[in-house]
Amino acid sequence: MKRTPNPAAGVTATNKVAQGYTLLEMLISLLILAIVTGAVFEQINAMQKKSSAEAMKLDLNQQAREFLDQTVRDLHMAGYPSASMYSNPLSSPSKVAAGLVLVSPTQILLEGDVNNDGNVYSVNIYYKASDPGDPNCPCVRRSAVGKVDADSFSQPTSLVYTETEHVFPPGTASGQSGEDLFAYYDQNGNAVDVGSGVDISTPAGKDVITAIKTVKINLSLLTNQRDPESGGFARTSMSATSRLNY
Amino acid sequence: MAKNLVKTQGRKERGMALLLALFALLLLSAIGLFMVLSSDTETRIDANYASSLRSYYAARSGLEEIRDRIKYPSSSPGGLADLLPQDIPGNPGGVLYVLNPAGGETVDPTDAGSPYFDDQLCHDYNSGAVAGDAKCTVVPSTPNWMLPAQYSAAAGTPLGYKWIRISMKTNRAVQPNYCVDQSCLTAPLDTRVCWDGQAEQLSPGGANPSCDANGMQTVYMLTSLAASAQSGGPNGSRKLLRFEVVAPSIRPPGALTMGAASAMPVLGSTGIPAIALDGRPHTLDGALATSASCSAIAPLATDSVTGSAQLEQALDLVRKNIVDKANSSCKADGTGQNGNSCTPGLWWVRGTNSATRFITSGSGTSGTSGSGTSDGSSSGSGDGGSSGSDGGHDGDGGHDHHDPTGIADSSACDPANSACYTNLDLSAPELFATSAVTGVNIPAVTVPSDRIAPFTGGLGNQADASIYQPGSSDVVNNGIKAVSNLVSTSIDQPNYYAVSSSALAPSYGTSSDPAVVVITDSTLSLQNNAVLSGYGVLVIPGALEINDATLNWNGIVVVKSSTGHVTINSGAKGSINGVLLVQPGAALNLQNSATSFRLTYSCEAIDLPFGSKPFKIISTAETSY
Repeated sequence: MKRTPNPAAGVTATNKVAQGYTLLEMLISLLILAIVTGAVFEQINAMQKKSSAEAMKLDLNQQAREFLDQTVRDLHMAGYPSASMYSNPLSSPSKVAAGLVLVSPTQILLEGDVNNDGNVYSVNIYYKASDPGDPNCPCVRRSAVGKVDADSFSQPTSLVYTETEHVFPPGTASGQSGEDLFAYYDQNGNAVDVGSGVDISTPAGKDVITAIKTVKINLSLLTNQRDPESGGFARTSMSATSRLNY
Repeated sequence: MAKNLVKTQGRKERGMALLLALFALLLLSAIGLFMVLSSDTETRIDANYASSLRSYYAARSGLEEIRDRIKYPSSSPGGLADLLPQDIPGNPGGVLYVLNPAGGETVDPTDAGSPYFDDQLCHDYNSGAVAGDAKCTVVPSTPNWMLPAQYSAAAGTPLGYKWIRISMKTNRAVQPNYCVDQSCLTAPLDTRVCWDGQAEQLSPGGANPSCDANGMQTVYMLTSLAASAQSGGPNGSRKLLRFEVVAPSIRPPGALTMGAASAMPVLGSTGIPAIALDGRPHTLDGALATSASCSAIAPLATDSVTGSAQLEQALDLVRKNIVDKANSSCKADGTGQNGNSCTPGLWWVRGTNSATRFITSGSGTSGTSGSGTSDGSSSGSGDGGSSGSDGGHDGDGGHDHHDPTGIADSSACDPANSACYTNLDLSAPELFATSAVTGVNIPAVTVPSDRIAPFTGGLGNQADASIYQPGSSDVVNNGIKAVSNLVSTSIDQPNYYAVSSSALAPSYGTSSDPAVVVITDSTLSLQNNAVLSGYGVLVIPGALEINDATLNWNGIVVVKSSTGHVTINSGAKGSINGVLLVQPGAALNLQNSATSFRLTYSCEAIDLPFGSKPFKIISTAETSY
């Protein structure tokens, strides 16, 4: 059928309408659509992977930051209230915070009014390399229990703790993060060597702990799932420094 | 018809491309929005963390600034030492604020409508507020409860604190959990908290509750508020930090502070001692301070019951010797007898009545002085002359005698009798009178303008008011330890001298550059008209002896050996203006024949060698306000 050009509608439009879709046009269109759609979904997929990876990293960051915040707050309150705030501190040891009780590259045991509620707590922050019942380890745990009238090493053990999961093993050996979880410094900024750990039960240990004025916390965490983008485990490292107040 | 056809044809031509494009755009927008939100959350977390840290260190920087400034008097730039509260919070002048407003900002911690209102203060005074974390809404109603506010010396710098409050610590400030006595019940909550050199103690109260009147330092609380610029906004944070601080110096309980001696102390031999111990505050040049920054203390102090008993016995022996000397040397008209001369001071002790004012033995009672005096001239019934009057001085007017040895002396007079020699007041400046004319019962005497007396100063807390015994049994050791710490930190400094007693220079240190002098051999024996003077700390490992020589020391003299001694003998001249600390166990021998040696208390001189040291931080806490 031949159409007569209509001057009012325009020749071109009339011709295109009249032409319709050929199979070839359809295939080309589908091809282009597939390419465009594929490209779009490729980007979406990448975005999703990126988003997922970033969410995991964000979670890591938050975990790390929460741990650092909490530990810094604990260290700020370590040793408060001290024995020198009482005329007779021996009459009620539960009201006296000893400050740092035990320190090691992977553990701090301290006493202080960490909740600011008028009670002294024995706070234990330690690295746990593995726990058969806990797939989230290596991890760092923090427990706090109200101090009782006993010496600092005879405080009750709390079964409740908070946990920072999937910690990259701290230390300087191969396969470790390259830094200890806790590093200690004296008033001049020089590192204090605590070896594998010291406590206040001996005069020598007490001297070492007395010299500590600043604690640096180095935390590295790994994601618990592979990064969908890189295929590896994402790692976040964060550190904070806390000056002791006693 | 043609127009309709075109429209129809156009719709058909639109296809799926637009939909797909819109869908893709929507999806990308959603992803982008999610990422922006995530990023924003992360940014906010970072901002909050940074804000919190900034506020913490801003508050801390303020505390450190004030901790430094309170070392210096206001005559020094930024100094606050003489502006510190002298009373507890809630009382007039009990609070000092140091403000640090940012440019164009108003910081008023007393304005309840201000974001920087001091909402913690009500827990530090008797406001009726329930102890705990409840925020305050009021300030004290007492007129002038606040001293004139001071300002940060670091104005214009980034130190971001808003204000620092300086106030004395009381038990109330740490109730209900951390009272100094733990129970919060052994003393009123507004009892001042003091520092004995080792631990906090509640002030024993009494006539003068000031810590320095009781051999201790005042504990101050520095409270700092810092708030980030966005306070109240999304990234704002507030931090309230507190320091408990105490001055680095010492406040001894007595001008001569000692532990129990290895032998009975000798504070004089015959007659009125020439030596004088004065616990009133003196200036650096040894003059009586007219506006002292510290309280008067007792002339003698010890940290043990045994030491107090020894000192009481020694003082009673001084009294007995004076009365014996007066009664044997003076007649009622002030003339001498028995070949002795009657000095104005001895006449004042003897009195102008036929009966002597004081007796040293027998059972006579007031008004009927017994005979037992050595000259035998005042036997028989008196006329009430044994009044035991204190002559108008500002001392304690005698004391209740008890025998510190526990051995009854059948010949001793009854201390309840005001005529008994034990009631002679050794803080009476009349003992050092320079002239006298007869009077009713006692002669009218002229005393030196500085009203010095053998043993004078603030009131002690023992039966003999010349003696103070602090509640803490470590006060002497704590004082010596504080001085030892100062000495150890001075080693290798230009003002540190470790010197043999045989190689002493005539003088060490100045008032502006005090010295730390440590004698390297055991005994510092000054004799043969030797002269040693100085400012600062003089540490003697074993014994101090002054024989026909002069010691003029402004500051702290420490005798550190428990087997050593302090002997101030015939011909000793000069003074120790500050404090003499004697290790428990060391013997004390202040002979009567010493000529005009003075031991005067001066907190100014004591503080001198500690001048460059910062206030000690007893505790630090971050409070939840």
